[in-house]
Amino acid sequence: MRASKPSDRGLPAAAAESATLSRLTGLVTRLLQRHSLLSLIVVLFVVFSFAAPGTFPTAPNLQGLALGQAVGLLLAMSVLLVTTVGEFDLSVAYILGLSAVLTAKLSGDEGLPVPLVIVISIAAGALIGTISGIVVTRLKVVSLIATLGVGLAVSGLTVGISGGQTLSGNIPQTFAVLARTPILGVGSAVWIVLAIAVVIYLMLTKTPVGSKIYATGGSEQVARMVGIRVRLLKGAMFSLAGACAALAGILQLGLAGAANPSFGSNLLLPAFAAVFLGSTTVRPGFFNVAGTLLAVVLLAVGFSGLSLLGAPFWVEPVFDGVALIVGIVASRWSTISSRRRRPAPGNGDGLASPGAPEAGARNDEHRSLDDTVSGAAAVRE
Amino acid sequence: MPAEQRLAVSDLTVSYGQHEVVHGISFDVDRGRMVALLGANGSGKSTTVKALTGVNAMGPRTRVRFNGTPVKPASLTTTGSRRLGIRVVHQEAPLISNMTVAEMAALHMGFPHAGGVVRHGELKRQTAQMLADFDVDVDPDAYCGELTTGERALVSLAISMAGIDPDRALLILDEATAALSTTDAKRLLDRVRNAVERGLSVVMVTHRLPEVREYCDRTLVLRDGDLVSALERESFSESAVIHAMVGDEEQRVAADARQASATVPERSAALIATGLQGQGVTSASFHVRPGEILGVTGRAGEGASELLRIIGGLEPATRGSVSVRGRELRLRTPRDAVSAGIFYLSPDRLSEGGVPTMTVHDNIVLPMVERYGLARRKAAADVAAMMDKLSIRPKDARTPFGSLSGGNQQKVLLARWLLLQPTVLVLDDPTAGVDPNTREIMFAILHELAAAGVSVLLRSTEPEHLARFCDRVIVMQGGRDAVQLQGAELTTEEISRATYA
Repeated sequence: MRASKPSDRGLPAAAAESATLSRLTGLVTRLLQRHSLLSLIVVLFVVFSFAAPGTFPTAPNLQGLALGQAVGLLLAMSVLLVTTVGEFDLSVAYILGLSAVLTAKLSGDEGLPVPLVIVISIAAGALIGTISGIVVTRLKVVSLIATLGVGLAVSGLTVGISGGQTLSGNIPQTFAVLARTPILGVGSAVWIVLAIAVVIYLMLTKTPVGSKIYATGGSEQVARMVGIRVRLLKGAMFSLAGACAALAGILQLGLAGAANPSFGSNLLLPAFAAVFLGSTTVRPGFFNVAGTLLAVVLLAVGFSGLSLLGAPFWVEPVFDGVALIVGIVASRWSTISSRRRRPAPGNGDGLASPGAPEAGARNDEHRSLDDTVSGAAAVRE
Repeated sequence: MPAEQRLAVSDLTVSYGQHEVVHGISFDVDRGRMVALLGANGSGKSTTVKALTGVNAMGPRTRVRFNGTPVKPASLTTTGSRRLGIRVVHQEAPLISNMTVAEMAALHMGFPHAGGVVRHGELKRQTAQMLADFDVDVDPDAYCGELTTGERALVSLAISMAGIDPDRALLILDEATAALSTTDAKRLLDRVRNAVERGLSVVMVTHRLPEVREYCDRTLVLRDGDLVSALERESFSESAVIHAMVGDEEQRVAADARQASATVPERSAALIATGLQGQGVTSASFHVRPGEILGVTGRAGEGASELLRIIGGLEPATRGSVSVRGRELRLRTPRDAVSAGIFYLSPDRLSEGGVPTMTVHDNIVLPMVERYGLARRKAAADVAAMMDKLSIRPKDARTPFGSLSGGNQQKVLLARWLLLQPTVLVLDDPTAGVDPNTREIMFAILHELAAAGVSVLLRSTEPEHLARFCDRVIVMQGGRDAVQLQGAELTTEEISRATYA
């Protein structure tokens, strides 16, 4: 942080001016830190536009890029919903697969009307999420294990419904229309997902429920003690996550025109990566919608550029994985280098509580964003 | 022959980022001496201590000598300071619940082994010896999670001093007694004092002035990162220390004697508990009148803390009844208590108090987010007024709760409940680890609340506080409300006698 202050070399005569300048660079540094992913996206965008001018910055590429990320973003949103209350949901990717297959089966083979099928699929996703929620909050099974079990069971059901085949027969055109209709040049699936992201964003940041959600993720016991219905809230987030994942499955069917029973599982890790990477930016230290969105875009832009430059398809997960680790380490490093300080006691709960991402870096991060006065208050007595 | 001067620190500065919080203090600690380091919350005590143990970096001008030899500040890392002979006991004994005492000791002093295989018999013998050195009667095979708070403190003391000659070492007690009852604290400090007779030097951070009076040879007082006073044993007095701590600012002293509300008949009590039974409580019956401060005390494990947890809804009552303002309650969750106007303040500020990552503002309004809804400006104004009233520092409501000092965290949690206008306030040892001036502010506010008709249930481990601030005190023994003291019986001596009888 300090290295980026040219004002340190300012002339003594211009002391006042240099103070203003230093305040300005401080602001820029803070903006960069808070919007690190956004800056990186811009940089990558410019670099790739110069490196592959004929292919990367073209409308078809960018439209395809956006459409290709819609399902992944929605899945990341469902991962986000559960991580904000301090739990993990591994089953969402399998719910996505089940929903795609169920939708294809009911509308194609059984010929049920499309609206009914959509309602059934989303209800099924919500139901599965509710089951996970009950197993976690009532039967007190650790969410990682509970949703692993639920996810496995769901993946079996998916194979059962599809008979292990990719379902592509008689699927109504309505699904393609729902997902692919261009609006302002971009497929409708993107708009649907963005609308959902906005709703979740408003819920998390502007409503009382959002405070309760972050409180529960930050400290379940504290939330309980102030009268928040922690179990109900967690259960609701699992249900919502299931519903979102199911909708992602329906959109996926519309985009692909066929339902592959093994589709969802490939999206699981990237969705988690986006949520965690997103927690380093916009509202550092908290899982947040805008950060997750930026992370999804960053990963997509990064890989798209690389593939246009000739990188093979298998580079994508490698890129995602490396980007996640580099992102987390860089956000921690940038704060540690600015002040040598160990994490305060009571914050060492890292992985054990997903509601507190990056336990060690978290407080430092806030501190570096705050002014020096509250930095002084960081002194623990 | 060990040097007469164990530690000499000159011009110690410590900074967080660009902000200097300890401004060039100098002090030394002689061999076989206990030195108290006092100061208000946020004065730099812990920061100073953490510089000695390598947690905080020292400034470039700082010079340190240990046992007469100069020490490079850069070499004072956590392991470096430990190797040198600086040992520390913290308030929360850092013991791992599912490990035995012997295994825990081995983590500090190394596992004795033969060809890579742990020799358990030898480890047990070493641990038993280590515990015996400090006269600690604990089985090396006991799991740390099974120890009482007092035992945990003694075990951490023994472990921290493992493998070092007291006559070469400096022991730092960083509020080591804050969570202990007076008896447990005395047991701990007596053992420390024994080691001091054998040449150990001690730096002790505490808020309990009686301990300082009894055990310490010298008292250093910090204020805003400066060393403002050094008192020898002869010149020590509570008023001198408090004056040094707060400077010329107005000292708040809560009104002492209270005989409020004694005329209100018992039948119109704000809270009545009858035959209450639950985790750690076998049978408790009592009432609190409106505007009354009822003290609850007892040795650890005798049911005082447990009783408050039941009233706060944290533990379910298995039998008996509780009614508030004549209305019978179903107390099964904290939510039940909160909706009846009973607000509980836990002594565990971080895990049962505030959400560390959230801001002070968000923590204060958390129970009433719905009431405020989207009225952010109203919420901000209420929070600012409350922070002002309780003089919470820093004044910025956007500061993360976890970065506040202990006393300020406590005030934030109190602010939260005050905004909700309690009927019954249940406070479990609210002044543990809180400096004397803040303590007086808190008690003055409690009296103000009581005068406005709020009922207060207050647990404290310090009889003198109970005698000063309460209208009545009940002493728990074996899970029962065994003794009730009021009026002329309400003295420090009577409370101590009833507690430790």
